[in-house]
Amino acid sequence: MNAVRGEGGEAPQDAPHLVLRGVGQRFGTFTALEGVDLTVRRGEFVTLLGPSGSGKTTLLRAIAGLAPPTEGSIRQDGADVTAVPVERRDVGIVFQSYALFPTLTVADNITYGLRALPRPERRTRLEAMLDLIGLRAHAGKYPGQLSGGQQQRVALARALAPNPGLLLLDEPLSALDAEVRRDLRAELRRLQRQLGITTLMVTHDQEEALTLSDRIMVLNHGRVEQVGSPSDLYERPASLFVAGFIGAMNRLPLARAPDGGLRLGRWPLPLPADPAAGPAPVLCLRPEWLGLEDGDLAAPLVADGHLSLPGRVLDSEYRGAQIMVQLGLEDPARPDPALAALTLTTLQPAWGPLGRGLEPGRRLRLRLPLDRLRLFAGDGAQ
Amino acid sequence: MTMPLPLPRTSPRRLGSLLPAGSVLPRPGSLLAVAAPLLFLLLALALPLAAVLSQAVRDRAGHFVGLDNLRDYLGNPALSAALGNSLALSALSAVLCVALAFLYAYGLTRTRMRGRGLFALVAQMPLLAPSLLPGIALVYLFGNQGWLKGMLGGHSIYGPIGIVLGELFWTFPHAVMILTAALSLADARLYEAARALKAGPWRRFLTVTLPSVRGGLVSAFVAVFALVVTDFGVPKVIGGQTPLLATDIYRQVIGQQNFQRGAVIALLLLLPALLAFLADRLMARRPAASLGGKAVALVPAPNRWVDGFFLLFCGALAFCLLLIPATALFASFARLWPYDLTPVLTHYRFELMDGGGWTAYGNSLRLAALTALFGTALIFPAAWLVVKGRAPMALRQGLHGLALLPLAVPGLVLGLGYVFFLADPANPLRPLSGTLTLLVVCTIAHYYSVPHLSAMTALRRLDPELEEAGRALKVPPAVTLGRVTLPLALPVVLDMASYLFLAALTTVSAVVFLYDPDSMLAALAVLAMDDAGDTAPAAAMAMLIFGTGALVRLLWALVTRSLLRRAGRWRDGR
Amino acid sequence: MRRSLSLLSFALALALGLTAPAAWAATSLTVYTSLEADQLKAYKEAFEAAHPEVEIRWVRDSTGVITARLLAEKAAPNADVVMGVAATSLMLLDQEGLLDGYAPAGLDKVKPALRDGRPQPHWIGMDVLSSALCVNRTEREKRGLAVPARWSDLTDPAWKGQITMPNPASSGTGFLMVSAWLQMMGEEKGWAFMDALDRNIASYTHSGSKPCKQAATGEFAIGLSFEYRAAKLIDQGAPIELVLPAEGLGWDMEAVAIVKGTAKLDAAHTLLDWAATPEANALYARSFAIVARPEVQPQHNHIPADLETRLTRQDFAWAAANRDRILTEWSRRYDAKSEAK
Repeated sequence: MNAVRGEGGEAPQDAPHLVLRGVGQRFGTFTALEGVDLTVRRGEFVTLLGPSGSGKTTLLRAIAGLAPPTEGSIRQDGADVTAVPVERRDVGIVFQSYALFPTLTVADNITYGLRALPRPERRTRLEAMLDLIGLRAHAGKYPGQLSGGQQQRVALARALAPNPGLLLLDEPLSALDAEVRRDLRAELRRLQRQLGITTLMVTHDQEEALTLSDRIMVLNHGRVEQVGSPSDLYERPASLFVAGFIGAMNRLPLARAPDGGLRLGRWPLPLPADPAAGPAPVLCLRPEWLGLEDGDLAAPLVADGHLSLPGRVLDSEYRGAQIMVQLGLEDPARPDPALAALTLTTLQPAWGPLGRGLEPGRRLRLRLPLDRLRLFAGDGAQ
Repeated sequence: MTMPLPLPRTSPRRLGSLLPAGSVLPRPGSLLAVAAPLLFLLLALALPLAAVLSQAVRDRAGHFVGLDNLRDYLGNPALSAALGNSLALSALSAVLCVALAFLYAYGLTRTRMRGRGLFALVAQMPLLAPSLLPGIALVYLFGNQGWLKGMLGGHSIYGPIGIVLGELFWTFPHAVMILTAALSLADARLYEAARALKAGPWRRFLTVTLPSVRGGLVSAFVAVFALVVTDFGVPKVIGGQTPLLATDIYRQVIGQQNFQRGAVIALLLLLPALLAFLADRLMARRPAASLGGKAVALVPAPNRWVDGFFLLFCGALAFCLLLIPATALFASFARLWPYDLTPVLTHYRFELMDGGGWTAYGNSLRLAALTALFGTALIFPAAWLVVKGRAPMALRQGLHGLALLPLAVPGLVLGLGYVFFLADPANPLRPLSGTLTLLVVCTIAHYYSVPHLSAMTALRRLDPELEEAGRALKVPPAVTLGRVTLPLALPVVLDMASYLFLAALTTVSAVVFLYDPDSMLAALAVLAMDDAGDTAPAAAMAMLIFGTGALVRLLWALVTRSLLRRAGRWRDGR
Repeated sequence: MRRSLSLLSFALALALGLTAPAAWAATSLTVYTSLEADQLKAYKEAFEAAHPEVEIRWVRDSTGVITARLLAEKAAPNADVVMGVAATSLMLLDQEGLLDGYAPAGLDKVKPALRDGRPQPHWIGMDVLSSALCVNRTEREKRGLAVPARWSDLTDPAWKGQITMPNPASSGTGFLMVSAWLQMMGEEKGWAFMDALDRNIASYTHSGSKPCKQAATGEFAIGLSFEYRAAKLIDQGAPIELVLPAEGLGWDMEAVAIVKGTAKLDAAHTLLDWAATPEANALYARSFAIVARPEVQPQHNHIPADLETRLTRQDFAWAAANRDRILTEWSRRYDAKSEAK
């Protein structure tokens, strides 16, 4: 497939392809994006992930040259391209709506950006692209006559046809049905690996981000929350936002005792009191790491690498292989309204030792592995 | 027979949110491109208007006299009566027209009466003729020798009755278009809800229907009011002894060559038109009762009584509308109305008449064709520059604002502006005086707004990412405009051209000050012949224009259809 | 960039080529006129046949408009020649210094009463236009009324709303009537007559022909107009009776003059020379009973041969000098009934 992805730029292979320094975007008094730093290696697949309004699309448009940033610099292949408009950048873009030209056939759409090529080469290139996306039979059709998935592939082929150094994908799969989306996700990953093209994708779908990316940049309110590999983000989220945004997460809001120690409701927690977590820290643990065992407990207890809390089953949901259990914390000595408001969830194997005995009301010890616990500064909203 | 609405509801203020923010630095190309239509509108619209304003505050020798001219005019009771008459008759015409048009449009959109398509077509028909036609036909119908004179109960058609009847005919299509658009936006769920809450038909009408079309009613009233207050074709022919602003400006400027007084009346004429324009824009800014994404289109249920009533009503009204051109047609063939009704063609032998005859007709065709061609070629790309261009926001908004200005400028005022503008010996454009080129320029400027707004609406409906995709593929914007945007907007572009063609064919107001014998127009020939008392040839020429308009519309419909079929294989997949 | 170029080329195309008329081989002479449309064609053809090197470009409007326009264009006249415009108007223009003197060939053959008396006359008459009544016989008989024989008969209330006459401010025919009434009856009685007449008037028209044409179609029973239009309409079969009121007829001359400062003086002289020829007079004679050259004797079916004797005595110098005053007074009294323009 070297015929499809030609030689890269003149820069050495190990040099970063894209470098963002302090990129920001202001619209009047509104700051859409602030202080974004990012370095993308050649051939890397990086995803910009965030909720709507987080600035991810703004960042992509800045990188594309569709709306140059008001601050910072963007370097591509070693050259400063901050103010270079899209028509003079080395990028291919797949738009959210695909933006296929409805008046042109599939073939004309794909060759739209190949005006500079002589006719025979354009033909060769078109055929290579049609083979790449497997739509050779549809070359003469108009976009309106294609399915959503086919349209998406044509959009991809059109973006790749001019052999850009950087591929930008704006929510490429969001308009598709769940099943088609799963298929195309795999195909997109395969194509990207095969072509080795540096790729930047915007999405709000964490599953898409986790499965496709080499690295993910999480954005919130125009700022970078964390950049890292999918497993980094999942296992070692850098902020409460990242922790909550990617995967499910149990959150226990804590309070500070006057001596600086941590409290859960009225209970003092025998944990190291990380001062960085601020006055209202939040304790986080993924549901799958929360263990259960029989037995009563009067108060929290740290032993053999776990924090144990007294609690009971509130509800349980049978899910075939697993059971999802909702748990409440309970002070056996006297009711604590602060605790009553908290629930935790966990996933237990349906055929495990506790198995089917998890009826509501059953008293249990909740076991939280210390090395999986994360303590974050609360955002105040909790 | 679809024509763009006379006043599409697009607020200028909303423009901001629709333009891509944080645009790329302006490039010389985009600046130059946006400069061309800006320059056109400055020269063809803004400067002539400024010339009118500056003349209004000068005396005949050109000295600045402030508001003396205005005081002078208002102090003369014979003259200032025109102001009162104009306002009163325009308001009366607008109320009557909107009331009739509302019922008519209601019949078209909310009932299942038979022949709705035909009725819709008939309602558009008055657009094909200059406003002189209803005046002439009314003379034949209700004049002293008129067939229906008895219906007036001894009152004369020459005066307020004739003016209002004529204006009703001439403005009817505009009101019907606006109200049809407003009434067709009906959400069936609201009616079902009202029904479930046991609201009777009247309560449903008052609580659901009326609020949803309030904006349309105001808009129609304003549009009709502005059309009547600035029209001079109808009162010229049938106004009798009733002085009006529009005929007064004409009499002062043409009859007495008193340009300063003309400029003062122009100011007075500009005022109600400007107020009407602002009122409409204000209404447009208010959130209209528009259809949400989940609205269910209302399909009127058949109802024998309702359908029957509206069939009767619309039928009677359509008959009245058709009576006007039918009468003119008949009279144009009668040897000597009313004594000798032998059909002859003599009244179509215009060469012995005032007004330039067939040459004028040829000029009108040329004017219409050139206006349609160059108008569309100018306005569509300019609208594209406003919506999709990358020139600085201020420039694009300035262009948009100037493009809307003609909505508030009566043709007579614009025409007078050209007279003043070109009268300046230092003006390098002076050689254009009296040429057909000038008439083309003036007509494009006069009718700029409606096609501009149609183009804007069509372009905004297109996905902005299409243009970005073109740019990302390093294709010049002009290529994407030609290969993608233009084909997508083709129906609208063709509509724009046809609107301009008909407008140029029927216009009299702006050009009446500007023609010279070599650039005489057919609609002006109607005016001249009626002036000379040659009513039958005037009717003949008016019907010639009418027939040409109808023919062109028909051809246009056929051409549009075949063009769309050829260019639009891509539409089938939808 | 390509877009802006194409826009530029539009603008250029607009400014250039579009309307360029075929290049004139002949000198094009702009002639302001109030002649009737059916006369214009014949005059132009005859003149251009005799003088192919000059071409007439008519700018036609009613006498009042042409007069006002020439006055308004005083600083930079657009006209080369004025032709077929009332002599009173030309005298007024002459007072403003707008006309050039010229003695065409054959000037000595022109009736002295029908020309400016100076050796280099500033205007030369073509023919005499006299007022006349057009009475619709059908409508009159329907009402059982007698043919009005005198001006004063027109004030009979039986004719209320049935009479139209030209507005003297715009129409030469209208002005010559008003001027004649004032001279014939004296100012006071003249205005009193017009006040009475005004009560019967349905509308004051812009053009001098229109009242007669409206009488022809019965729209109004009586039109105050001029004899040529009445005769022509009778020929066309209109049920019109031509009436020449007994008190005497108002009249004026249609005349021709050169606009001072014209760049085409030679061509203008050519036209004036032609206008005084018997051939041109023969054309005038088709319309009018009295023309400038005595040797041309018009024959008309509907106009009595003794027309000349029925004309009132007119002081054109007085009419020209008082034109503004008369029209202002007239407008003050009757403007409300005027047609626009």
